[in-house]
Amino acid sequence: MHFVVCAKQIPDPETPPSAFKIDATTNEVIPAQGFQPVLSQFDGIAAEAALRIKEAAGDDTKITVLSMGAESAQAAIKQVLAMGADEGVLLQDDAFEGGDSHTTAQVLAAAIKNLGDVDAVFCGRQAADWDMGQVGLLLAEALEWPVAILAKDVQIADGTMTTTRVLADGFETVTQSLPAVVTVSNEFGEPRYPKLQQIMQAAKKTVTTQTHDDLSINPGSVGAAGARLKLERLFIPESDTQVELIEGDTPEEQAQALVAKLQADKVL
Amino acid sequence: MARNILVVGELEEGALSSTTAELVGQASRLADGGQVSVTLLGSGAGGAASAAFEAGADRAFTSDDGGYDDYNSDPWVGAVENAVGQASPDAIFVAQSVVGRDMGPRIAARQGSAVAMDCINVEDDGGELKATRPCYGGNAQATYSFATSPAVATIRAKAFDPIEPRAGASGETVDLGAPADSRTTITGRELAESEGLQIQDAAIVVSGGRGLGGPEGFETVEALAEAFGTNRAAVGASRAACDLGWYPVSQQVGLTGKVVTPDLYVAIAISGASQHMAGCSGSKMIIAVNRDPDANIFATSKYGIVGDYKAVVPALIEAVKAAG
Amino acid sequence: MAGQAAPGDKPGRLVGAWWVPALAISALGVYLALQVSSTEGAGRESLFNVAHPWSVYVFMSALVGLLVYGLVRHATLWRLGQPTQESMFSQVRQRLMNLGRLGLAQDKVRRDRYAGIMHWCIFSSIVVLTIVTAQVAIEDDTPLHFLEGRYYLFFSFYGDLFGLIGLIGVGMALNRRYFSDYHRIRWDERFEDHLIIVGLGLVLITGFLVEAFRIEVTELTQEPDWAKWSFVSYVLAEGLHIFEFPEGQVLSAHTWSWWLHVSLAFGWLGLIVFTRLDHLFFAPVNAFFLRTDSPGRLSRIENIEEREVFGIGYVQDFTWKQLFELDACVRCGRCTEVCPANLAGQPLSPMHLIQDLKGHLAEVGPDIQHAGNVGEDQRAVSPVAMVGEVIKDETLWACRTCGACVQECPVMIEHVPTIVDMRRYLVMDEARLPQTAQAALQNMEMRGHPWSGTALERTTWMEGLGDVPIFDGSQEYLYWVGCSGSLVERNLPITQAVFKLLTEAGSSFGVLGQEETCNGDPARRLGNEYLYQILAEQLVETFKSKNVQRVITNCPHCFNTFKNEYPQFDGHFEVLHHTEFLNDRLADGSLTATHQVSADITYHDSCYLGRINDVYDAPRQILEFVPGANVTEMRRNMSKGLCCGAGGGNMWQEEIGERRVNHVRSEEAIATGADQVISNCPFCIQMFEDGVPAVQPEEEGRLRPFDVAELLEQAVFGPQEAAPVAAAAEDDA
Repeated sequence: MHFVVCAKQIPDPETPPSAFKIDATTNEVIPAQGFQPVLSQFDGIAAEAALRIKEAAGDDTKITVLSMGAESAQAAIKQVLAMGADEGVLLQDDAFEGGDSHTTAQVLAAAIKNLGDVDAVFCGRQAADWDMGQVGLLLAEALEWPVAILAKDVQIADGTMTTTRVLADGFETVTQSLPAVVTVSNEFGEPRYPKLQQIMQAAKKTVTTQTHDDLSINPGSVGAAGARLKLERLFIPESDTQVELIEGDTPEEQAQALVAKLQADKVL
Repeated sequence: MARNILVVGELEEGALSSTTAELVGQASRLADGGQVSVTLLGSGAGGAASAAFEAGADRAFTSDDGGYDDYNSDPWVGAVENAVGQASPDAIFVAQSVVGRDMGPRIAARQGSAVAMDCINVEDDGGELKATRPCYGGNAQATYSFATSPAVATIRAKAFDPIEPRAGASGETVDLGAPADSRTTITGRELAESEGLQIQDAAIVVSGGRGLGGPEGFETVEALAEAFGTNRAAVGASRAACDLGWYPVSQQVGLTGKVVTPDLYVAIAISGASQHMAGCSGSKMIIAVNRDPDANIFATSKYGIVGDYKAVVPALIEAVKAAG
Repeated sequence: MAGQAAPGDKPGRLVGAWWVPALAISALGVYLALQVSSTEGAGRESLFNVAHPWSVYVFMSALVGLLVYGLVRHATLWRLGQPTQESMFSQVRQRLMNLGRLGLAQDKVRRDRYAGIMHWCIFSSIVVLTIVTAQVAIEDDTPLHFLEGRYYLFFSFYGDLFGLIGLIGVGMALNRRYFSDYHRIRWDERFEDHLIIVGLGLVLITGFLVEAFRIEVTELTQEPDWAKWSFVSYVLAEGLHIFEFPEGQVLSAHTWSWWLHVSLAFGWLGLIVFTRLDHLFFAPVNAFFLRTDSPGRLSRIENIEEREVFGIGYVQDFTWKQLFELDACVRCGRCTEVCPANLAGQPLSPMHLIQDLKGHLAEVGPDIQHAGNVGEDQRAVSPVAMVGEVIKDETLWACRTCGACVQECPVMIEHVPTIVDMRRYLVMDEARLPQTAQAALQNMEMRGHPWSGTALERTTWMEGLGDVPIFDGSQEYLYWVGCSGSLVERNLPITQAVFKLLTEAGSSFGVLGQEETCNGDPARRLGNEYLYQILAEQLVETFKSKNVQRVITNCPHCFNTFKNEYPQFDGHFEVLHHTEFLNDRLADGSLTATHQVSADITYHDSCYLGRINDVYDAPRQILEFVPGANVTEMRRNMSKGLCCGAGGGNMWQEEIGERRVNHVRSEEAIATGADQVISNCPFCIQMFEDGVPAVQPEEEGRLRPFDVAELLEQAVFGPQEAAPVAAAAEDDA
């Protein structure tokens, strides 16, 4: 079998709020000093899901990592290669920049079609920067494949993907025929820690770079030119609440004062 | 400018869901003379249609077919596409729910348009629809406009108030027929063990964090929720506390847990990291108890008590009980 | 109280205190022998009443053969090991000193007073009685004759004296083994333990009987004045005399007891080959092999990028020195008795770890050797995984690398490097590690610090402190704040206190601010040597490019890494812990502590400042400078201090076991009755912040942890000026 893992490199989501800054003129996040971009953690989980199936199958299943992004995204690809993926492809082109989920899905879909024989695509439940959670679905639509989102368990055997999905109040198990797309949720479990030997091997692997020419994509249909969602404004929400600390000589006094406030505000 | 809006409705035990009523309400505010339609699928849809009309809908696309009861992507998308074809909406609203997370992007793709997910606001800005949603783990918010039509938005529960019910309102009902075949077979469903109130439905959520110092701290948190009343208060936990195994993951509040929007969110010994706040910042009011006066949680709280929860919370329980 | 040293901590004494009474008694004997006049012609037939005494040499040959066999057998196994990084025959002077001090003088044995006396009794008795026996042999079988006259009497005296001393030792050993509550020496009790101690007792008793029978039929009647020199046998002979046995029977009893004694003695010596008695040779040799560099330094894996195996998962991958050590272990349990993990009921006992490895080596060693000889895969030999099955993962993770086991081991086993070698295998070769440790390591990789989820920045602590000088090479010192000092809420007041004190003292210093990154210590101790080397090499480069010469650290772990480990990466800096620097400033008057700080305090030695780097005095001297600070030491202090529980990367791990180490240590601090526990390490402070409330649920009168610098800040600036200490961060990322 041949699996694809979609990996995205994002600004470090653990950047402390005090260091998180936005350039209001460009509507972009200003990279915080000392914080390197990282692999979106949910994509690491998606890679883990693909690797576990590959290991369980014990056959010559191949895993290809796809990432659309800048040259620095090589690091995200290498990280997944170190976990045990076989090949990496970086989709890098000025024409891809400034797009939205739709154009990202178009580029990824073209790359997957280009690979030819893909059986399943693993995505994270959402990218931990924009938190949209729609590329996997749009990709499935573009490929006209079935998709299961928010998986906490994935099995693939005999041309069928069996997924246990997280619902609001429980879980649901669904089956779909391959090829299919799955987005993996954090309930699946943590991604593995790579063995050092694999890290060394991954470092030596070459990551193929592909552009719109390689994928026969019209540059006018992707990136900023093809985006359907226009970012008007990116901003840090201002906290309009000024905390009122309840004073008192004893916890009992404080508690009574607080309850009185809540009653006055008609919350209780 | 008049705009037609289609709301993808959901049923809760055969009745119109409260979130659908909220979305229909906001749709009617934004329609500006356009038509507000709603799709209702599954057992009870016919009955729920009248509730939808009272909530602001002009037209209901319904199917009472029990085949829609458990959400399945392909038949639902097929039915909604059918409704879209008839209603020609300028905008489509879906709840940020199990349905919306799946259907929002798919409907948008099939209509050749785009979706803004997990919106906390959709408004009219000079005749243009703009959607605002949190991103970067709650550190930022983004406002989008749509280059294509229809504009699709999935919207958080309680982002909008429903309108005052239009008593006796009625509208046109269109039958959507039986569900189409699906590429997805549902082979099993397992509901999480839930005692009483779901955390997303609770009017009051009392949450505990790592500062509790151990799983036994949650007994105190639970006692406070009980004092508020088991019919309206539920217990949540921070990711740190869940990771430590102090409380079930099903109760985790945060970016990767449950997003809750209660009237009152009580944060006990929670520092208030942005990942956690992403799950509770939509609450009407947040109050906090923390030992550390500099804890981030106080930045978003209306009221706070600085102190050891072991002393403060029992006192709070007594005060709440005394207040009845 | 402050500055007081625990006994036995000062290195450098070649001869232990227990030798003094031995020499005194011997001198007394010499003196008495010279005083006695009627000693002309004193002496005896050296092998009185024994037929075929030459058969002793048969015994002896057999014994020598056996010893050689044993040694070869052991050596075959040691040879499976790898070469050591450090030459074992460099620094010979220091090694010989160690051999004398730790091997012969048994400095460490005496850290347990009772065991020290017992062991000296037995050890000195065996040495002296071997010399006694050798003299008899020389007297009998060589032309040399010296057992006569005054020397013969003195010889009789000290022979009996050391026989008696040996019996006292045996008595003490029997008491511990059979009459003390479940003592540590019984935690891994085996049949040989009974054999050794009872056997030795019998050898000594039969020795006295031989003497007594001989004296009864010879000296007692012929030369009673000479007989009295053999004072124990003399009393026994007098006792036997009461029964008036016929002389024939006594002679026959003498013959029988002589043969019994000789057989027992040689039999007992033969135990050396088969039992832990082999420590007789291995312990002093291991003292010679003891590392000559700091115990705070872990080995560097050379050419790590070209290797295929990184850690040690197979017994033959240890160095021969590590394999040799296994044989030195005597199962005394001292390591386990002081191990913080063991004290908290967590799954690590250093003694059992060493014994399990030893057992594993004995089991698979010969087959591994055979596989090597016939060119088969040595890694396929062992039917069990050394790491995982023989030694469980959780055992390795429970280690705090606090060095208490290494400190206490009387035979100089170095457990910590062996444990870290196996952690290296788990992390780098197997990628098998606890989730929390993994998160810390990944965070170091991605963000250059182990504090996953922190909401702070490296510059947060500077807020409100005005201009904080950034190090640019022109200042004398780099003040190294460290990740814990800047990214953990609780530690910010410590960093600020040190900063204010450095400024107040007029020191020339700067900080790196945003440019600080983890120096790699947690990665190294968690077993990720690769990550450590990357971080260390980067930081050495940074330091060199900024012309850093002298460093003051907040944290003992940074201190140890810069001081002891960076020289492995060609980073040579003068490194001071803030307590050392501040103590010097108090001593030279650039800082004055004038404000009264009335507090009952106890002082907790962090392992990496205290035990591992020997800095016990500087922080205690600071406490002496603080007016009104009343110090009570904890039961375990200085080199015997107990770890807070955070070392060895356990700051970032879930503890498995009955209790948490910080609860145990918090109890000890609370037991002093102090209201503040003062330490010098951000990890220790955090562990107390977490542990004390668990032990003392009542907030009223609860023990509060502070850094030395926070206390000194109060004394220098007064309680008003000093910033109030924030409560522990409640981190929920």
